[in-house]
Amino acid sequence: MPGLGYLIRTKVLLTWRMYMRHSLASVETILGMLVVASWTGFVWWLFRHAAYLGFRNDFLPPELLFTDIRSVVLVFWLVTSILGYRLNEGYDLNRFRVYPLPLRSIFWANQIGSMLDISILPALAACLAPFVYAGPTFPQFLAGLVLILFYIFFLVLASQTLAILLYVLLPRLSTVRIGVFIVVMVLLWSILLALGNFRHPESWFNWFIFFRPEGIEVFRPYPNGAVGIALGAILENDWKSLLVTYNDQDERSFPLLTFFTWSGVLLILNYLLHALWLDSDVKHRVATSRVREGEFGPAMLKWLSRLLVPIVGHTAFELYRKDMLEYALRSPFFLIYKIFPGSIAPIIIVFAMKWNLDPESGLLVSPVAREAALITMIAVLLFIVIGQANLFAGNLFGFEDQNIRGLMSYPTPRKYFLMGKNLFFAGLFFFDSLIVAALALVFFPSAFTFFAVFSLLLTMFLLILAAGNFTSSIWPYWMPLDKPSFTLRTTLILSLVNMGVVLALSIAFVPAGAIVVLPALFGLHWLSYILMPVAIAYGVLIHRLTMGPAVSLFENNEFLILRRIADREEL
Amino acid sequence: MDSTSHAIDIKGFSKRYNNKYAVKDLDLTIRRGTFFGFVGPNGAGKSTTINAMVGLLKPSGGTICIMGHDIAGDSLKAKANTGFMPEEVVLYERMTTREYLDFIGHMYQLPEVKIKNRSTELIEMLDLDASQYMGTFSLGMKKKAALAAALIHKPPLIILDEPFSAIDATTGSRIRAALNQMVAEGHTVFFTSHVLETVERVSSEIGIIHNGKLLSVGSLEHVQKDAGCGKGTPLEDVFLVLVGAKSVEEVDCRDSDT
Repeated sequence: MPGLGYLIRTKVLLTWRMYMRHSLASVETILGMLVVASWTGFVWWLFRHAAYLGFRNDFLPPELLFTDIRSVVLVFWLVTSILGYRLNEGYDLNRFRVYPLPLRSIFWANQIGSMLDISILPALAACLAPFVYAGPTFPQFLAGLVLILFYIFFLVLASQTLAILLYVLLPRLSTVRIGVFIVVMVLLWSILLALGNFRHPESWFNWFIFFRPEGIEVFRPYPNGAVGIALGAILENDWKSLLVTYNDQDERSFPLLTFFTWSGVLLILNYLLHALWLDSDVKHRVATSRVREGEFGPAMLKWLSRLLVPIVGHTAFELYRKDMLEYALRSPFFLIYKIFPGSIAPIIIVFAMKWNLDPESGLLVSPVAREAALITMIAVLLFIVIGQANLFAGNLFGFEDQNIRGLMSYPTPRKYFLMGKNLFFAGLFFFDSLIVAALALVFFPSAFTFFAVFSLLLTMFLLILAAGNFTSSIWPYWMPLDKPSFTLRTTLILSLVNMGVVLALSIAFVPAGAIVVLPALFGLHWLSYILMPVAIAYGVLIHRLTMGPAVSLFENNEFLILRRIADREEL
Repeated sequence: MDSTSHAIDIKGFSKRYNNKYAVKDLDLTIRRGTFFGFVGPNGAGKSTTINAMVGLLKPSGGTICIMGHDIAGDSLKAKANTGFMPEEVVLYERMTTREYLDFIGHMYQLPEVKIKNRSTELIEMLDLDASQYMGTFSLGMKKKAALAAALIHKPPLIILDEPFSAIDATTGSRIRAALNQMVAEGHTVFFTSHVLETVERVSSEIGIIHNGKLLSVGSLEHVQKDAGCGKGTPLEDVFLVLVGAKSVEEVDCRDSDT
């Protein structure tokens, strides 16, 4: 393939130069990942032990500790993949289209080069860790390593296919179509679950639980499961089972064939999507040049203005309207590419992880104990969400790097800046909460689950908005894990500050969590229902009480904010 | 309202970056109704001065008063009296001109009716497309849209950083006409430009800054005199002499009276 070697070198060079140019971006990323992962692990551990102690009146057996460690490793891997994917934006395939290079060269260079991205290394370590723990011989290790490398390549393919799907589809989608798409996806997801594809009778001693070799009720042809089965076969020196294997119900499966067929299909799909995208990308960046008559977005905002202007005033609403038009309604690409991965995707992933976390909740046999499992899930979820959501809530006015200077030259009272930003994120967070509450129904189908998750998430987001107002006023673009910071010292300080804020948020969240969850644990669900609005009101109260000091801080720090933004732009 | 006769009153303004002065001890007073051209070589301190005047940069020393309001102590009132167009025009790509002007009008807290009327007026005056996404505008159109935003609240003081760069003659002429009309109505225009021909043609007063220091300020005749050049010497020659790039002999502009 002409130019392939050079293109791979360029891809790797650009990726690594990006890390080196923002020399501490990778340090900050890894640090951030450690912060998120360790907090998640800690909370997970705390809730697990408390639940076990509370409902079994006994301490957690040591053998179950491994499931905790495994969960943390899994979370670490997931966060790593997400952040790495967000970081690696240095290789723009369209730039190479001006040269006489075939598409297949550009495509393969991108796929192979992505394997050397910094985010892949922790994923490789996370995959290898349980394998090495089982004590393989050298041939077993070698075969396992090759398989895991292929598996990671499969993950790269999967993530790039998703990304390219967003690139190709989103510029062609309206807000309504995206809404329909999400509803259809949720329905499809529910149907798959109802069909039993993702049931999981596996027990805690399954080493490869995150490949789910036995985690599927029957041997469905599923790539992750196939890799898990293949790795199990290697460890048991049962090499024949790599090709054909049978489960307890004597059902036949073909692990390697299944896995490589999936990979091949994904590869072809990915290539075809790249071909489609590269030719149409530029002309669809700005979908139309003229506003359509009766466009949905402005009409909806006009309707919303009747509702919100009496509460927040014209100025704050206009700031919200501007953000909605510029960054959300007319740019579904921007909305989903930039917001979805950071905001909703981690939540969905955490729910998906429930496949792997179910052995724990399965051990808790009483219905009340299952509520405790739900709480544990929520706790883990909250911390993941906090880690991600503060990227946005803490950012100054959403996504405005350049326009912020213009805004600052206006005589607008500064409280409206914060209110406008909060309104924009509150809308997103409202839908986040609805989506997560609906997803929770899939796993715990009860009205209580829906309303408890919805009210608690909404409360938590209100607290995040309050915290975000302060961080915006001190350090705009604070703690965005995928953005460069300035020095090692500031990186460390920011990471510590992030931990402190997460801790403060956790403490502030405890009363809301307690009043919603505790009555339910004692069977008093009716009381929980009554107290749910109280929890939300508590969030609103904290937000309102903190607005005044946040505005003062903002006003006093105006030049500092501008300087921080200038520093950031110069990087 | 603002009783001062000065639109801009700068006293001892300095801005230091890492022990190096971008501007040092600048004194500048501009009367209302002046069309003021602020010129200087690259890195002379023009943008630093402008950024401090519109409250985007904290002075290291001195005071800046806009229409009698100190930009540091009473910044919102000073900003309410100013319309600003930066050199690098950054607009919202997915908003139309009409929506953008509507937004800016609210930032200045103008009443709805006033915003609507003024937007229509400016769109017509500057020949803008009201329903086109600004992301698809040409550079000239972007400049005009940014100018419309700066003029939406009919500010007493209009500050423009390089309004005439990288635009075609038609757009330049339209912008000049709009600004001349504002000055005729009693507004003050403060602008920077590297196009000295334009500065010479439109300005009633000119300031020349070099290495952070104001070399000369006043009418064209006054500036010519400061440079030791005679009447009728083009501003470009006067400028070259004042910044030390050429001597009076080299540009052959000696004032016969001196």
